[in-house]
Amino acid sequence: MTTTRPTVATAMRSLLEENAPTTGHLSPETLLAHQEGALASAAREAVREHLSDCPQCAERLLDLEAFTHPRETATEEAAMAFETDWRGVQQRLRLRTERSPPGGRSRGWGFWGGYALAATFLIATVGLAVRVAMLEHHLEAPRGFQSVHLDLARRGTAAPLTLRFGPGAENLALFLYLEEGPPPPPRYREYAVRLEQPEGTVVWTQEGLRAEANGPLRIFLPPAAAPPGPAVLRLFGREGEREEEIRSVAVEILHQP
Amino acid sequence: MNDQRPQIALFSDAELVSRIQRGTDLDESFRELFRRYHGGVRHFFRRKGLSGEECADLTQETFFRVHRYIETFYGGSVKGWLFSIALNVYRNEVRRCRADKRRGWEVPLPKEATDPQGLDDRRPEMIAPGPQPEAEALSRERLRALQHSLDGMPPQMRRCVKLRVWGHPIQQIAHILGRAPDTVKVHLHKARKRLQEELGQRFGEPGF
Repeated sequence: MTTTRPTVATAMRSLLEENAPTTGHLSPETLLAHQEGALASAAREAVREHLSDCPQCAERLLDLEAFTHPRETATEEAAMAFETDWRGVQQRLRLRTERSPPGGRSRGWGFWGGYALAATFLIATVGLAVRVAMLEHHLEAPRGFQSVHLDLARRGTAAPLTLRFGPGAENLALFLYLEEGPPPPPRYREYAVRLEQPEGTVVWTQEGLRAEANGPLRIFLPPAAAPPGPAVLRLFGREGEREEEIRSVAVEILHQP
Repeated sequence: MNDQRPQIALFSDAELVSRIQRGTDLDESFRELFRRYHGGVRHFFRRKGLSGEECADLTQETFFRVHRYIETFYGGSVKGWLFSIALNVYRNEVRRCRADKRRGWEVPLPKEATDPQGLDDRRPEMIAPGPQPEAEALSRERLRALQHSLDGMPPQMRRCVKLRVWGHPIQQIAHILGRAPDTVKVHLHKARKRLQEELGQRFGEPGF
């Protein structure tokens, strides 16, 4: 059987293709340094070795050669190409400026304005959520207390309000709202609350209460301080030595076993 | 008054880019950068075998990108940076052309055009079989000998041979390796002689 012998080039080509690197190509900077003879001896040898093994990098080096050493043609045609390309670039830049908002190369107000709006919305949402959480916490009675929210303005002539002590409501937390009207009661520096029996005996009092801005007065009423039966809850405002009754609410106190 | 202004042509590339970034004589500085590299960019695209119209389009696109992304240039070689942009523009164009090709119609040729002798109708056993085991072993042995011979060459000679086998003419090999063309010729001549002596029994002509 006779077999034709392959040429060295054919065999070597398949050998080289088999071993050609697929990654780790040389960067344009390295190729430029190689081209300009700026590499140290060892690096230069390594680059040459890589170039002989990697056809892609060798091709790129030749591209770079074409880029850095163009054939200087001072013909009319070259001058025309120069002017045409320059006008083309200017036109592209103009088109881009027209399409994008004012601000040149930097991002315009439209871009940053969108971000600013989104940031404001986010801050407002988070702030609102925190505020609501604080308010809820503020209006929440401590554990073991039963909350009673009392609108003083509307309670003036209504039927007695029942304050019930019992299982799950060992103590009462009263939230007295001062803002409601009409007319809203004047604001005072300090407030006092007294619980009186019908005949006028004061059974419990709490002084020096301060209302937070736009918030209710918080009063914690222990069962021992409130004997069962009808009573009147009076709210006083204090400004220095002056004391004025703001509202009074008739209550019915119940103690359930 | 123009005499008092700095001669823009005397600025280095980095100084020009810095002036463009600062907005100093923006148009003038950019035009100078364009003047310096326009020929190079055009020549690069021409080398890639593109038509005059394509060269113009991609050259304009390259400088448009240079202007657009000039603020992202933080130092290094302006030439290298510009070359990278041109390379990316070219790669994008190649990708776009491939995508266009994929989107194109595929029209099958008539059977007579592709198979005039009706070879596809042959019985399966008539189609040439794969390499015989002994031929394959022989081929492996040849490649091993070739590799051994290559490894034994001086580095410069080996590189010249490899580049020649990849298909580069003498001038390009000289440029790639940074050697004189005559040196490359001498290396190749010696390599042919050497390979003929070492592998003459196993291979035919050097073929490069």
